Amino acid sequence: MATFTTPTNVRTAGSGWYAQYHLYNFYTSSGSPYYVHFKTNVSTSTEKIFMLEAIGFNYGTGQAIRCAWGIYTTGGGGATAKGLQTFSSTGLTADGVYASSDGYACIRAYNGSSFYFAGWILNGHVHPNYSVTLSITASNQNSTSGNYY
Amino acid sequence: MANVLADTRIGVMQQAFYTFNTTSGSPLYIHMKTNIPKSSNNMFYIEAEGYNYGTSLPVLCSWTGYPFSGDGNLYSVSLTNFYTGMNADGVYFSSDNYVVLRAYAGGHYFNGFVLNSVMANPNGNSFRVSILAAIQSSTSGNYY
Repeated sequence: MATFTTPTNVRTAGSGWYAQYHLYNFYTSSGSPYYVHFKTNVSTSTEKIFMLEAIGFNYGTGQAIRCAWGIYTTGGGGATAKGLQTFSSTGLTADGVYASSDGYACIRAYNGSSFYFAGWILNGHVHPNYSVTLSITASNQNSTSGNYY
Repeated sequence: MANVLADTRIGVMQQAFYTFNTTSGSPLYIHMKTNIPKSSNNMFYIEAEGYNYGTSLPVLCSWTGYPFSGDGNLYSVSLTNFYTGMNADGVYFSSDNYVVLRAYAGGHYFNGFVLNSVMANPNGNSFRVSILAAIQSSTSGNYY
Protein backbone atom coordinates (compact mmCIF):
# COMPACT_ATOMS: atom_id res chain seq x y z
CA MET A 1 0.00 0.00 0.00
CA ALA A 2 1.15 3.51 -0.79
CA THR A 3 0.46 6.02 1.94
CA PHE A 4 0.45 9.70 1.00
CA THR A 5 0.42 12.73 3.18
CA THR A 6 -2.64 14.91 2.88
CA PRO A 7 -3.59 16.55 0.70
CA THR A 8 -2.35 14.55 -2.26
CA ASN A 9 -2.12 16.37 -5.57
CA VAL A 10 -2.23 14.63 -8.93
CA ARG A 11 -0.88 16.66 -11.81
CA THR A 12 -2.07 15.98 -15.32
CA ALA A 13 -1.17 17.59 -18.63
CA GLY A 14 -1.20 21.38 -18.58
CA SER A 15 -0.32 23.67 -15.77
CA GLY A 16 -1.47 23.36 -12.22
CA TRP A 17 -2.89 20.55 -10.13
CA TYR A 18 -5.88 18.79 -11.50
CA ALA A 19 -7.01 16.46 -8.70
CA GLN A 20 -6.34 17.25 -5.07
CA TYR A 21 -7.46 14.50 -2.72
CA HIS A 22 -8.33 14.81 0.93
CA LEU A 23 -8.10 18.56 1.35
CA TYR A 24 -9.96 18.31 4.60
CA ASN A 25 -11.72 15.92 6.97
CA PHE A 26 -14.72 17.45 8.71
CA TYR A 27 -16.60 15.55 11.39
CA THR A 28 -19.00 16.42 14.13
CA SER A 29 -20.94 14.77 16.93
CA SER A 30 -23.50 17.59 17.03
CA GLY A 31 -26.76 16.96 15.21
CA SER A 32 -27.40 20.66 14.80
CA PRO A 33 -27.08 23.43 13.69
CA TYR A 34 -27.68 22.43 10.12
CA TYR A 35 -25.16 24.40 8.09
CA VAL A 36 -21.41 23.89 7.71
CA HIS A 37 -19.30 26.62 6.11
CA PHE A 38 -15.84 26.07 4.62
CA LYS A 39 -13.47 28.89 3.76
CA THR A 40 -10.92 28.19 1.03
CA ASN A 41 -7.55 29.79 0.35
CA VAL A 42 -8.71 30.94 -3.11
CA SER A 43 -8.72 34.72 -3.32
CA THR A 44 -11.62 36.27 -5.18
CA SER A 45 -9.18 38.78 -6.65
CA THR A 46 -7.85 36.02 -8.93
CA GLU A 47 -9.77 34.21 -11.64
CA LYS A 48 -10.07 30.48 -10.86
CA ILE A 49 -12.31 27.60 -11.85
CA PHE A 50 -12.47 24.63 -9.51
CA MET A 51 -14.74 22.05 -7.98
CA LEU A 52 -14.98 20.70 -4.45
CA GLU A 53 -16.67 17.38 -3.67
CA ALA A 54 -17.73 15.88 -0.36
CA ILE A 55 -17.67 12.11 0.20
CA GLY A 56 -18.59 10.43 3.45
CA PHE A 57 -21.31 9.21 5.77
CA ASN A 58 -24.01 11.00 7.76
CA TYR A 59 -24.79 8.65 10.60
CA GLY A 60 -27.54 10.96 11.86
CA THR A 61 -29.62 10.53 8.72
CA GLY A 62 -28.29 7.09 7.84
CA GLN A 63 -27.16 8.22 4.40
CA ALA A 64 -24.07 8.25 2.26
CA ILE A 65 -22.65 11.66 1.34
CA ARG A 66 -21.79 12.71 -2.20
CA CYS A 67 -22.22 16.25 -3.42
CA ALA A 68 -20.18 18.87 -5.25
CA TRP A 69 -19.75 22.61 -5.62
CA GLY A 70 -18.66 24.14 -8.92
CA ILE A 71 -16.94 27.44 -8.18
CA TYR A 72 -15.77 30.41 -10.20
CA THR A 73 -13.88 33.28 -8.67
CA THR A 74 -14.24 36.26 -10.92
CA GLY A 75 -10.98 38.03 -10.23
CA GLY A 76 -13.06 41.07 -9.35
CA GLY A 77 -13.86 40.15 -5.78
CA GLY A 78 -16.71 37.73 -6.37
CA ALA A 79 -17.20 33.99 -6.01
CA THR A 80 -20.13 32.34 -7.73
CA ALA A 81 -21.60 28.88 -7.92
CA LYS A 82 -21.24 27.32 -11.35
CA GLY A 83 -23.15 24.14 -10.74
CA LEU A 84 -24.12 22.69 -7.40
CA GLN A 85 -24.97 19.03 -7.48
CA THR A 86 -26.19 16.60 -4.85
CA PHE A 87 -27.14 13.00 -5.48
CA SER A 88 -30.69 12.29 -4.35
CA SER A 89 -31.23 10.60 -1.00
CA THR A 90 -27.81 11.49 0.32
CA GLY A 91 -26.81 12.99 3.64
CA LEU A 92 -25.39 16.36 2.61
CA THR A 93 -26.47 19.10 0.21
CA ALA A 94 -24.15 21.45 -1.67
CA ASP A 95 -26.01 24.56 -0.59
CA GLY A 96 -24.08 27.58 -1.79
CA VAL A 97 -20.95 29.46 -2.76
CA TYR A 98 -20.02 32.97 -1.65
CA ALA A 99 -17.14 35.37 -1.13
CA SER A 100 -15.98 36.01 2.43
CA SER A 101 -15.76 39.56 3.72
CA ASP A 102 -11.97 39.38 3.40
CA GLY A 103 -12.11 38.11 -0.18
CA TYR A 104 -11.92 34.33 -0.29
CA ALA A 105 -14.18 31.73 -1.86
CA CYS A 106 -16.39 29.87 0.61
CA ILE A 107 -18.83 27.00 0.32
CA ARG A 108 -21.87 26.17 2.40
CA ALA A 109 -23.17 22.65 3.12
CA TYR A 110 -26.58 21.80 4.55
CA ASN A 111 -28.66 19.03 5.96
CA GLY A 112 -32.06 19.92 7.42
CA SER A 113 -32.37 16.83 9.62
CA SER A 114 -29.15 16.02 11.43
CA PHE A 115 -25.37 16.05 11.37
CA TYR A 116 -25.14 13.67 14.34
CA PHE A 117 -21.80 11.86 14.02
CA ALA A 118 -21.47 12.89 10.37
CA GLY A 119 -18.08 12.90 8.68
CA TRP A 120 -16.77 13.59 5.23
CA ILE A 121 -13.72 14.55 3.25
CA LEU A 122 -13.36 17.29 0.68
CA ASN A 123 -11.57 16.61 -2.60
CA GLY A 124 -10.71 19.32 -5.10
CA HIS A 125 -10.49 19.42 -8.88
CA VAL A 126 -8.94 22.42 -10.56
CA HIS A 127 -9.12 23.45 -14.17
CA PRO A 128 -5.55 23.10 -15.50
CA ASN A 129 -5.65 26.60 -16.95
CA TYR A 130 -6.12 28.07 -13.48
CA SER A 131 -3.29 26.80 -11.35
CA VAL A 132 -4.01 26.82 -7.64
CA THR A 133 -3.18 24.52 -4.77
CA LEU A 134 -6.38 24.35 -2.77
CA SER A 135 -6.71 24.27 0.99
CA ILE A 136 -9.42 24.81 3.57
CA THR A 137 -8.44 27.52 6.02
CA ALA A 138 -11.49 27.40 8.31
CA SER A 139 -14.74 25.56 8.89
CA ASN A 140 -17.70 26.11 11.15
CA GLN A 141 -21.01 24.36 11.88
CA ASN A 142 -23.67 26.99 12.51
CA SER A 143 -27.20 28.13 11.69
CA THR A 144 -26.26 30.74 9.09
CA SER A 145 -28.04 30.13 5.81
CA GLY A 146 -26.24 33.00 4.08
CA ASN A 147 -22.64 34.18 4.41
CA TYR A 148 -20.81 33.27 7.61
CA TYR A 149 -17.23 34.28 6.84
CA MET B 1 2.51 10.74 -13.69
CA ALA B 2 2.49 8.30 -10.82
CA ASN B 3 1.72 4.66 -11.48
CA VAL B 4 0.66 3.29 -8.13
CA LEU B 5 0.77 -0.48 -8.01
CA ALA B 6 -1.03 -0.93 -4.74
CA ASP B 7 -3.91 0.65 -2.91
CA THR B 8 -3.42 4.26 -1.93
CA ARG B 9 -4.13 5.68 1.47
CA ILE B 10 -4.61 9.42 1.80
CA GLY B 11 -5.57 10.39 5.33
CA VAL B 12 -8.91 8.79 6.14
CA MET B 13 -9.49 7.87 2.50
CA GLN B 14 -8.37 4.63 0.84
CA GLN B 15 -8.40 4.43 -2.94
CA ALA B 16 -8.62 1.06 -4.70
CA PHE B 17 -7.83 -0.99 -1.61
CA TYR B 18 -9.44 -3.99 -3.27
CA THR B 19 -10.30 -5.01 -6.82
CA PHE B 20 -12.79 -7.58 -8.00
CA ASN B 21 -13.39 -8.73 -11.54
CA THR B 22 -15.21 -11.59 -13.16
CA THR B 23 -15.93 -12.96 -16.62
CA SER B 24 -18.97 -14.89 -15.40
CA GLY B 25 -22.33 -13.26 -15.98
CA SER B 26 -23.84 -15.28 -13.17
CA PRO B 27 -24.44 -15.94 -10.32
CA LEU B 28 -25.76 -12.50 -9.58
CA TYR B 29 -24.55 -11.69 -6.07
CA ILE B 30 -21.09 -10.73 -4.83
CA HIS B 31 -20.26 -10.97 -1.14
CA MET B 32 -17.21 -9.16 0.28
CA LYS B 33 -16.18 -9.80 3.86
CA THR B 34 -14.39 -6.83 5.42
CA ASN B 35 -12.03 -6.67 8.37
CA ILE B 36 -14.46 -4.37 10.25
CA PRO B 37 -15.36 -6.28 13.40
CA LYS B 38 -18.86 -6.51 14.78
CA SER B 39 -19.10 -4.25 17.81
CA SER B 40 -16.11 -2.19 16.69
CA ASN B 41 -18.05 1.10 16.58
CA ASN B 42 -16.37 1.82 13.24
CA MET B 43 -18.69 4.03 11.18
CA PHE B 44 -17.91 3.20 7.57
CA TYR B 45 -18.42 4.47 4.05
CA ILE B 46 -17.26 2.02 1.36
CA GLU B 47 -17.94 2.41 -2.34
CA ALA B 48 -17.44 0.30 -5.47
CA GLU B 49 -16.28 2.13 -8.58
CA GLY B 50 -15.85 0.56 -12.00
CA TYR B 51 -17.59 -0.70 -15.11
CA ASN B 52 -19.96 -3.59 -15.71
CA TYR B 53 -19.71 -4.56 -19.35
CA GLY B 54 -22.58 -7.00 -18.88
CA THR B 55 -25.02 -4.26 -17.95
CA SER B 56 -23.25 -1.67 -20.12
CA LEU B 57 -23.23 0.78 -17.24
CA PRO B 58 -20.66 2.38 -14.97
CA VAL B 59 -20.52 1.26 -11.37
CA LEU B 60 -20.61 3.60 -8.40
CA CYS B 61 -22.47 2.41 -5.34
CA SER B 62 -21.89 2.67 -1.61
CA TRP B 63 -22.50 0.91 1.67
CA THR B 64 -22.56 2.70 5.02
CA GLY B 65 -23.20 1.54 8.55
CA TYR B 66 -22.35 1.53 12.22
CA PRO B 67 -21.65 -1.75 14.03
CA PHE B 68 -22.56 -0.70 17.56
CA SER B 69 -20.72 -2.34 20.43
CA GLY B 70 -23.51 -1.60 22.88
CA ASP B 71 -25.93 -4.19 21.53
CA GLY B 72 -24.08 -5.84 18.65
CA ASN B 73 -26.48 -4.48 16.03
CA LEU B 74 -25.74 -2.76 12.75
CA TYR B 75 -27.22 0.74 12.59
CA SER B 76 -27.70 3.44 10.02
CA VAL B 77 -27.14 1.19 7.01
CA SER B 78 -27.56 2.89 3.65
CA LEU B 79 -27.29 1.33 0.21
CA THR B 80 -26.85 4.03 -2.44
CA ASN B 81 -26.56 3.46 -6.16
CA PHE B 82 -25.09 6.56 -7.81
CA TYR B 83 -24.40 4.80 -11.14
CA THR B 84 -26.29 1.59 -11.59
CA GLY B 85 -24.04 -0.94 -13.30
CA MET B 86 -24.09 -2.82 -10.00
CA ASN B 87 -26.13 -2.20 -6.87
CA ALA B 88 -25.20 -2.12 -3.21
CA ASP B 89 -27.60 -4.83 -2.06
CA GLY B 90 -27.01 -5.38 1.63
CA VAL B 91 -24.79 -5.35 4.69
CA TYR B 92 -24.67 -8.11 7.31
CA PHE B 93 -22.46 -9.71 9.94
CA SER B 94 -20.59 -12.88 9.09
CA SER B 95 -20.87 -15.88 11.37
CA ASP B 96 -17.38 -15.03 12.67
CA ASN B 97 -18.43 -11.44 13.39
CA TYR B 98 -17.23 -9.19 10.59
CA VAL B 99 -19.11 -6.71 8.40
CA VAL B 100 -19.93 -8.14 4.98
CA LEU B 101 -21.01 -6.16 1.89
CA ARG B 102 -23.37 -7.70 -0.65
CA ALA B 103 -23.68 -6.44 -4.22
CA TYR B 104 -26.11 -7.41 -6.96
CA ALA B 105 -26.43 -6.93 -10.70
CA GLY B 106 -28.62 -8.44 -13.39
CA GLY B 107 -25.40 -9.76 -14.93
CA HIS B 108 -21.71 -9.59 -14.11
CA TYR B 109 -20.29 -10.52 -17.49
CA PHE B 110 -16.86 -8.85 -17.51
CA ASN B 111 -17.73 -6.73 -14.49
CA GLY B 112 -14.79 -5.11 -12.73
CA PHE B 113 -14.52 -2.61 -9.93
CA VAL B 114 -12.37 -1.31 -7.12
CA LEU B 115 -13.40 -0.56 -3.55
CA ASN B 116 -12.67 2.83 -1.98
CA SER B 117 -13.34 3.80 1.62
CA VAL B 118 -13.78 7.05 3.53
CA MET B 119 -13.53 6.58 7.29
CA ALA B 120 -14.21 10.21 8.11
CA ASN B 121 -16.66 10.03 11.02
CA PRO B 122 -15.83 10.61 14.69
CA ASN B 123 -16.07 6.87 15.40
CA GLY B 124 -13.72 4.67 13.39
CA ASN B 125 -11.85 7.67 12.02
CA SER B 126 -8.83 6.51 9.98
CA PHE B 127 -9.57 2.77 10.41
CA ARG B 128 -7.81 0.91 7.61
CA VAL B 129 -10.28 -1.28 5.74
CA SER B 130 -9.39 -4.48 3.90
CA ILE B 131 -11.26 -7.40 2.37
CA LEU B 132 -10.70 -10.79 3.98
CA ALA B 133 -12.67 -12.82 1.42
CA ALA B 134 -14.97 -12.35 -1.57
CA ILE B 135 -17.13 -14.62 -3.71
CA GLN B 136 -19.63 -14.42 -6.55
CA SER B 137 -22.61 -16.45 -5.43
CA SER B 138 -26.34 -17.04 -5.86
CA THR B 139 -26.95 -16.40 -2.17
CA SER B 140 -29.26 -13.43 -1.69
CA GLY B 141 -28.91 -13.51 2.09
CA ASN B 142 -25.84 -14.21 4.21
CA TYR B 143 -23.03 -16.20 2.59
CA TYR B 144 -20.26 -15.80 5.15
